[in-house]
Amino acid sequence: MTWPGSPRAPLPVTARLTLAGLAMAVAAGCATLSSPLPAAGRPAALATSPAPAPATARGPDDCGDPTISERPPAVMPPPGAMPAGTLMDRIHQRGSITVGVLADVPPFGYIERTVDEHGQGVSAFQGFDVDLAKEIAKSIFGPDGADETHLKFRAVTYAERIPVIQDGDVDIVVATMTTNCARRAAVDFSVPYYDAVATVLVLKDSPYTGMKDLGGRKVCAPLGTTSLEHVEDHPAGPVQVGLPTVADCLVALQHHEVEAISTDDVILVGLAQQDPQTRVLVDDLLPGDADHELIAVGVGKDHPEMTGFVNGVLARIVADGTWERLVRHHLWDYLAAFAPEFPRPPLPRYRD
Amino acid sequence: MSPVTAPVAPVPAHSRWASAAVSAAPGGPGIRGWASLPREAVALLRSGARTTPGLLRIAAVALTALITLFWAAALASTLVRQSAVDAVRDRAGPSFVAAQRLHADLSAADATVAIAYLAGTIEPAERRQAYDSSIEEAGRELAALTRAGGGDEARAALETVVTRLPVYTGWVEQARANNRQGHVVGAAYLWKASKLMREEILPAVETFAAINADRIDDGYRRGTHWSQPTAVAVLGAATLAALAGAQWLLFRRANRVLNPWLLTATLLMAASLVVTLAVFSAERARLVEARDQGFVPMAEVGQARVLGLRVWGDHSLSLIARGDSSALDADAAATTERLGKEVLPAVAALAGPDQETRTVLRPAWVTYEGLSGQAYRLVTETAGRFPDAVAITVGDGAVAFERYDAAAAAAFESSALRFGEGLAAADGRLPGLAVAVSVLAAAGVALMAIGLWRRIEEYR
Repeated sequence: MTWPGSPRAPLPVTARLTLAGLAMAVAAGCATLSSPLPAAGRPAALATSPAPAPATARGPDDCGDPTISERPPAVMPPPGAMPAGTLMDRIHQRGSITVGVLADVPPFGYIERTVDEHGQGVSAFQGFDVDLAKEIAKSIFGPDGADETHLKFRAVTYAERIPVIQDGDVDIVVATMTTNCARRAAVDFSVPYYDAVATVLVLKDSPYTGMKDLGGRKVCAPLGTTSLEHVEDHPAGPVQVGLPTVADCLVALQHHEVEAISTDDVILVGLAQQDPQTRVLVDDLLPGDADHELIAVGVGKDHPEMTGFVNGVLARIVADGTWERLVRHHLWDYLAAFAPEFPRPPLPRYRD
Repeated sequence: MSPVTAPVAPVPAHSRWASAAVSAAPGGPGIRGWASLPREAVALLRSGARTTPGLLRIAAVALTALITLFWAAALASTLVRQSAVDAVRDRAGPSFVAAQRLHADLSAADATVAIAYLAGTIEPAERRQAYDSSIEEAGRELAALTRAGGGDEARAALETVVTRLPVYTGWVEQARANNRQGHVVGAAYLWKASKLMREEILPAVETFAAINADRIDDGYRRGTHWSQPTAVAVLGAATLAALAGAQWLLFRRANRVLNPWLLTATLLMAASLVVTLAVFSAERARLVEARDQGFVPMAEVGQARVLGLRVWGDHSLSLIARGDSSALDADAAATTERLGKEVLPAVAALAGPDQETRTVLRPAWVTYEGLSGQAYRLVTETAGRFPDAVAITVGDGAVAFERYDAAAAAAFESSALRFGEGLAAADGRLPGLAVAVSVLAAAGVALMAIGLWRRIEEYR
């Protein structure tokens, strides 16, 4: 840099040095800083379920009577002596049977949570279905078949009941499963062990007397159940709302998001006990008007010998009074309020 | 500067001094520009430059203008930097830190409710207290954030949190009341509450934090913009050059060795330039420290903490959901993946003075992960040993997680402290600098004027 018009007067050396130093200082210390959120400090999005609950499998209703099942063996094998090559034998050799049960549907399958004498939380599966599973386990392993080592419960939701059998996650499912033709295409069923009636739960102060009054109203039923199909098919034309569990339906009812819940009578009484401000509509229980849900044990399609064995166990517990004892213990308290008489076991109908 | 200096440039033959004195700033309008200037001004300058006193007067005006410009650039840069750093230190920074704490408190409350539910129909007293204090703490943060205000977007995000949080706590209490009576509907309420927390409340907190993170970034950019020191350096150099030129002029014209006034003025301007750049550079260095030792580790550790809490909550809720847990398990898996493969390695790789507070996080997480995996396998692979899984989860698993969480909280707080200290240090000298450059500029102009005036007086 020289002075224009004075070629012999360059900038003094000290000034040049000063300028150079300044330029360096400026270049080193004046780049604009940024402070973005580091990549590892950014929030992560919520992951969604890889497989949403499957819609209810609906198929042709042309399998005849869906309650017909395998005939039990003429002579039931005694516990611990299962015929070779059967699923029962494999279960016996494996040392444990895995049963899919519901975990939040009293009085059929639920987890009873208590506190023991040490103040520790204790939880155990309880219910009609659970005791039925214990009877089946005892028939395979003997009197200690219902303990923790021999009988393992896998909690399932309604929608999971068929997939866990198909995937082989469980040996059988005892989870208020209605037997019907559509489901029979996917899994096998035992003979029915209980005859439930579909009805409706509403808030105490609501004017409804039955499903017939609920046309255009929102009615909740658990996803993956025949109850939801019945709501959809009902001639009155209610609006179906499917939620994962009956408890979710109760929450929706309490928040006035739905007008009613529709499922099996005994389950609804179980819900009504959790909220005294609801009532079960008994009108729908009248004979003739009733929508029967025959519930059965689900078994894999490849194991007719297992289905026959379960049917044998069911026949035994009906014969020896265990069935009546279990109904009285688990269900009668719920039913006594409105059931006309003590329930009878559904009559088994066997193939051939 | 060009209106004063430029007219002389095209007339070099007239007086070589004229051009030497006034063309300190190189360049200027082209020949076309001259024509548009008022003739009188050109004439005045020409006649003024013809005599030494006239030339000196022009030099005095030019130098005053240059020093003023230099001062204005330094002062404006200082004030812009100060306001940018203040905005980060007083608003965006604390809001970001508070948002991170709020996020952690709310996540902790949600995870605590789930684990308390798992523990049984009577929730353990210490869990109840932990939930209460998390919600209380969250309320305090929220109140402070609401007072701090912010833009519309930030306010909308906060409003979501403020309006939804009471709904959340209401559902939690309903879950509790049902749980006490052994009603399974309690779990449905818990699930509903947790869904609200995860899908509405926490994303709103994240939005609020992100807005403040952007403000921090913006404050950093404005507070360290390259144009500010560049303008100061260029104008400072021009001022020093012009002062040197004026002294050269006097030296040649008046045959004097030194003009002490002008020399002092030059030294003052040089000091002003050096001090300004030094303070800017120090401020920038403090901001770099605040960022690298405070903001970055704080954001990463904060994320490590909330991701850990989320996984912990997922695990508990998955056990409560007992079957309908595919979404929770998927979220737990994805979150664990991000935490274990991305966030914790990044946290471990951070150097700096608080490193030892962060190195404990990874092993603590691995311990918890081992226990939670054990519980998960008890539920799924070995089919439904649910009570054992719950025992591990509420027992050793909870202890291990709390160790991790406490370590993460401590590491977060030490980084947050360092962030605040760094910002305070960055701001520290800027107010003084604003005064210093003003005083120096005033003194410089005064000394320069005195120095030149004395010479001009000698010609009378």
